[in-house]
Amino acid sequence: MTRVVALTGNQAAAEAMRQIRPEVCAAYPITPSTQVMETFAQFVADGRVDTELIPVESEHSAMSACVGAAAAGARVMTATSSQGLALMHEVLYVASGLRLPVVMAVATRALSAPINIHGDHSDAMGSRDAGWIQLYAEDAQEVYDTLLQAVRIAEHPQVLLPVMVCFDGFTTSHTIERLVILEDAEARAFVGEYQPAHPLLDLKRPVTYGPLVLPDYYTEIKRQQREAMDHAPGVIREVGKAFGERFGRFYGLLEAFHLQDAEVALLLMGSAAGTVKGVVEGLRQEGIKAGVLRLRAFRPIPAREVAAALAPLKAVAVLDRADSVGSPGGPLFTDLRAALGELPVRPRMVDYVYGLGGRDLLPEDVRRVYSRLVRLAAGEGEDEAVCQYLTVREAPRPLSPVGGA
Amino acid sequence: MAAQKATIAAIRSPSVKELSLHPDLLSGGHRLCAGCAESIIVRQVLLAAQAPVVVINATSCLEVATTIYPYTAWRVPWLHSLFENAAATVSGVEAAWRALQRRGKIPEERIAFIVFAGDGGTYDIGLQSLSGALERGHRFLYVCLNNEAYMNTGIQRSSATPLGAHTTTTPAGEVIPGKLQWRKDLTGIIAAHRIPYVAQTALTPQPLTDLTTKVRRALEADGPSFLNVYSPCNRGWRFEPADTIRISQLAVETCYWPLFEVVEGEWRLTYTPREKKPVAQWLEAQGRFRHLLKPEHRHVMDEIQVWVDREWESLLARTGRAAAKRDEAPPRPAPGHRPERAEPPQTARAAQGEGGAARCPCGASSPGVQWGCLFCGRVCCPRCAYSPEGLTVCARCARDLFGIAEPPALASAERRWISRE
Repeated sequence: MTRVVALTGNQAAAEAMRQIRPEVCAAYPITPSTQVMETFAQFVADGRVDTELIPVESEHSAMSACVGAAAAGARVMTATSSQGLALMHEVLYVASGLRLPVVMAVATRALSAPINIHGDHSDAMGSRDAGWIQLYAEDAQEVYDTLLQAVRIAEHPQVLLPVMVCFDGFTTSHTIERLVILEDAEARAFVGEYQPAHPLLDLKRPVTYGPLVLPDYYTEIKRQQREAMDHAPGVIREVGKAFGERFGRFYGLLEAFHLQDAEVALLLMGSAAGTVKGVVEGLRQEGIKAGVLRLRAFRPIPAREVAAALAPLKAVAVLDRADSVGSPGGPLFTDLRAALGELPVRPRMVDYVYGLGGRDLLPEDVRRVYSRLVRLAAGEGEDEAVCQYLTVREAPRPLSPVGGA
Repeated sequence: MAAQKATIAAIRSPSVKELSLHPDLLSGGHRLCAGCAESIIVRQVLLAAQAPVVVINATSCLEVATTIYPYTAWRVPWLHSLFENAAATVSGVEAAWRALQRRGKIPEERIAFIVFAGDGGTYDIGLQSLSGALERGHRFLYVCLNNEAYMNTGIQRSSATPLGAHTTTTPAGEVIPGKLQWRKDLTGIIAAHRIPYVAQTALTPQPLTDLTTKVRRALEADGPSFLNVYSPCNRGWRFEPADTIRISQLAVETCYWPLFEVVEGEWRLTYTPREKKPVAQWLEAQGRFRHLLKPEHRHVMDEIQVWVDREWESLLARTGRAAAKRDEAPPRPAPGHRPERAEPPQTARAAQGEGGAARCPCGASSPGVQWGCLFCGRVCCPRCAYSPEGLTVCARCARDLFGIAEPPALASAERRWISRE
């Protein structure tokens, strides 16, 4: 049966890892994810889990050791943040290119410079094209539930891709929340045993992993990676549904909140959804048809589902917790535009970059965004920029759009 | 530990005849250059290993030439990830092997985990990853195939490249005679990690089984082990492909590349040349040092001989064969210390501007501005200069700051120097 406990997001991740019982974990400390490996190391020291823990000398080596262990045929997990994820960057591509189902908890954090230890999505966005599945959790419960599901998603024979489970640094990683934990046996039964297809340590069938591939085959191998990613949405949904049927908490690719009859909505990821949902409830009482669409899967991005959910709306604002300097908007915004590009009639779309380096998102900020959406929905003209910073110590002015306009 | 030391030291390689009966685990048909030492070394390593082998390869000539998809030359499990992370990668593989055995998912048997990496992947970009893996104590053998430069990208200098060598990033030019720095003492750095077994070896007819004996010993060690294997590259070093072994033997006979091992912290020579040959024989056999034969660069050759002599003496002392004749680590000057100056120093650049060739107080002409003293800027020829870590310190500052006696070459010139000032 289940237990109700009070844990931080990091501890929830460590608890999930203990129950998953990976054969190998290799990690390096970095704020704000350090607590994941600290907690897990204590589990190992106390004999509560028999994982081989490799306390490496850098995140580059952490992911490298994960690659080695996963190729060997082990189930492998790790955790990191920010500069750590950036230092892993080139190894991330090896994990996905070799089709190794590594699962990593990422407590998302800003990137230097200037150095800042607090939450935003810059680190995870920097690795969005590394071929990893990226799932974003809203709170500690989701961190726990998503990690259990991530292992099944990653190891699915039609997927075999590494998965990042992202949650907001400090807001989720360090806040103590009430959550429901499964019995070890239940969790383990749900996750199942990993059966690697071609382990390096199968001495009877020697495999060459990571050869030199020239122009005559490289494209085909990359194409297979895309096909694997194309299978991921179905598998994410299937695993989320199986989880719900067993434990009562259902998960999909995205979460809609008051979207059914909405005219205006925000699209976002991560912990800010809690604040936004609160504001929406208030707006609804005032008679404003406001809604929220929260993405759980960012890679693969469920473009069709997003388009279907937002097509009937009049105006949509994206909350991007990272900027993509030099692009027409934040990373989520450009993806939204692409997703809605094929629709014959589209809602008005605007973008707000918010919460950089841990800056709070307050309910009044969210209300301000909805008021603008209401004006846009009413067909009012405006001379505001499409992409803006939300709460910045400066008179609001347009960010220079790429290519003029 | 003492018991293990004795056990390891007693291990001997089987005869070459016996080794030749073992199956070859690296097939022919790979694309390494004719005359490349790497495939010979790899085959010998694999022949010597007794337990089943799993290979982890850093990005290198060996990696690209043996696994051109969809072909592979490897008859053993093989994994390549990146350039600088082979040691971290093997850490993961070895940890997985432990964990999977413990859970009964794979049979309990010894596996020899062997890393192959070049000197660039070991001395330079992979050093951090290697150091970490050694400190953590994973059980694996790391083999550095040392061809003294980045050959895979086309002969660029690494910290293993010897002084004076021409590479494409340290070209021999009008002013600069090839690489200006000594190579890093990597074998010593690895030994400083106090791992059970460290050795330096090469492909030599004499002694014939030095490499295979050391592989056997390394794989017997209970923990990490390291082999720095000299790997002549005819393309980068410019010699005939048939001369690979001759060049190896010359490097050993000149004591440029001595054969030794460090077993549980104890340094031992595994071969002493009957007659120490002049290093010039080894230098002259390679096109990468050709410019040193010119009269104006001849002094670099002399400097290399001095360095080789000093290193050899220090190795003899470490292995208990002889007493050290010089201080191995001269005391560093106190911060802020500057040598006394009687008058404004004649800097190297100024001296060169005045009368064409700059002159050292001993009378020799200095080849270029790089021979100005680091501390006082005075011109000093390579023969007189003290050169720690590739820097130039004039004989006078060396005496004042490091307490080093004037080299013999300056003994007679010292008086002239003083009188001139």
